[in-house]
Amino acid sequence: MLNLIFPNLSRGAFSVLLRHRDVFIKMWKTTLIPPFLDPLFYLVGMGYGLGALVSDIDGYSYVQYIAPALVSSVIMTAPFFEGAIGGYVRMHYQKTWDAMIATPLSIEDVITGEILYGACRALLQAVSIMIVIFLFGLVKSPLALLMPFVCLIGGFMFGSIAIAYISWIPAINYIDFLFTLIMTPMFIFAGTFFPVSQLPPWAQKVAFFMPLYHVVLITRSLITGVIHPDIWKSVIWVIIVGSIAFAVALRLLRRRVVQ
Amino acid sequence: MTAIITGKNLTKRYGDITAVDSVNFAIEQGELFGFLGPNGAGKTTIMKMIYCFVSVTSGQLRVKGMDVMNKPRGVKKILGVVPQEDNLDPDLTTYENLITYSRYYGISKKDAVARARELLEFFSLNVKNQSAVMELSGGMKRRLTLARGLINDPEILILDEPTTGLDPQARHLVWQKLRELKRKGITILLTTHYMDEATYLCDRLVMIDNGKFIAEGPPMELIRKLPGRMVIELQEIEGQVYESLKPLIENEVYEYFGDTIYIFTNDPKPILDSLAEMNLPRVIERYANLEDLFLKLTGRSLRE
Repeated sequence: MLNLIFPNLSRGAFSVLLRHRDVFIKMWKTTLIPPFLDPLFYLVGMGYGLGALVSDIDGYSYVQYIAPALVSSVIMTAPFFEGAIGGYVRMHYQKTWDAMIATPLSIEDVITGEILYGACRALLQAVSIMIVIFLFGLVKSPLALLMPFVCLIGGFMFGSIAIAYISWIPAINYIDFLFTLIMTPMFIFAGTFFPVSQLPPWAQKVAFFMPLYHVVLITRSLITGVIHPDIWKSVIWVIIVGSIAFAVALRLLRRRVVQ
Repeated sequence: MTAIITGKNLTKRYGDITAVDSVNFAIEQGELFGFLGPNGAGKTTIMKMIYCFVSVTSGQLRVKGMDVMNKPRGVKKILGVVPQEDNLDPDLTTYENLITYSRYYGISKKDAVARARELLEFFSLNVKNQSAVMELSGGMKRRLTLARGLINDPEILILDEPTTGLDPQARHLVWQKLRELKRKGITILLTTHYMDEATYLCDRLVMIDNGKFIAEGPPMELIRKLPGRMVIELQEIEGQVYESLKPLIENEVYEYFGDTIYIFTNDPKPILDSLAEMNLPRVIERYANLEDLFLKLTGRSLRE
């Protein structure tokens, strides 16, 4: 089925994923601990520190409000960092992709492996933060057990966006634009630390087009157990945008890597 | 003998630049075939088209009957590729590089482990099998890249400048290993700009310049096309001295380039005798080689 849409894609993508897994296991101290501590500082500092000065939002305490957003944020940042920086280094400096496509693997297999790895990173980091917020008593519903699915579709979407982005940049420092113009605004404005209803109407419309907005909406619903009426729309939104970004990434990278 | 790789009117263009200009070749199964040329001549582009890294603009390129444009997976399955740039996986050890690479071919873990051990042995890398790639010397990296290119037991091995940047010991080891592989029946293609390498190794070769073939055949046969089997080089010759030498060598085949006169001859003794009293600063007598032919065909000016 997938072969009809992406004729150059094969199960060889999993051998690329296994390569990343092996490297990840070797380097787990640097790959897992810092990105895990980061949201923890936000949770304690902003949630409990700043939160003491902030009134309840939509019936949640402030720390309860931002805890799901911090889980969502790593679903974005993990595949962004891995896909954009790791991907660019492997593509441009280490020539790891060139070595891979000299084997029966196609460039599509290689990129799909990269994106799947980004999704797995999102899953791992989100789950480790969920364990922490669970220990803080901030996971309120067994629906949170559905979160791995959200991590994978969200991570797949963000990974595809990051990989598509590096396909047309001329040098590695252009990755900064992805972080400052795309990642940071989402991290702050996508209904993460305050509701989008605080924004002027035009900005609320912009927020709706932020991928992170939908991931936060789904995550907050599942972790608090208060299901947002639009949750299905957001799930479908993430799947559709993820699929489009994936198709774009495959197309653009073939053009960049194979002349 | 059957041809395992054939190119017909093979052409590659990048925009207005024609990197490979309608070349024809047939490489026989089991032979060691060389592509020789200066930097930018198009030899690497031909290699890259064979291993499906660069698309074919026009003409046809078949590997074991498979068209590279339609059957890249089938082609790449029977190839081993040793690229010019080191692209070993720096995040993995020597041994892990081989095992990880074998997975890209879909080789089972058991077979991969056996094959990796055998190759590490063959390339004298066993002591380094747990080392990070960064810790390996240039020669070891090249041997590991060679080992990696053989992990799938390929029918054809493609080497793009396999000895560039290696010290003499490492070069000779690579040459010896390539001859061993050839004896095992593997077809080997290599590019090089070292003419001595091509002479020692290749059964047949083509010389490339500006994307076109300018000579082809077994290396010794090509050398015989030169006007003499010996070369006398008269170095450090200034214009005035050249003028005074001219009458002495006017019956010989010679070239004057830079500060050197190259005289091609089968009988150097009388010429050397006649020049003896001139007190020339540096006179060298040597065998003619592929480099002479190459420079004769392409001119001596720099290619950049």
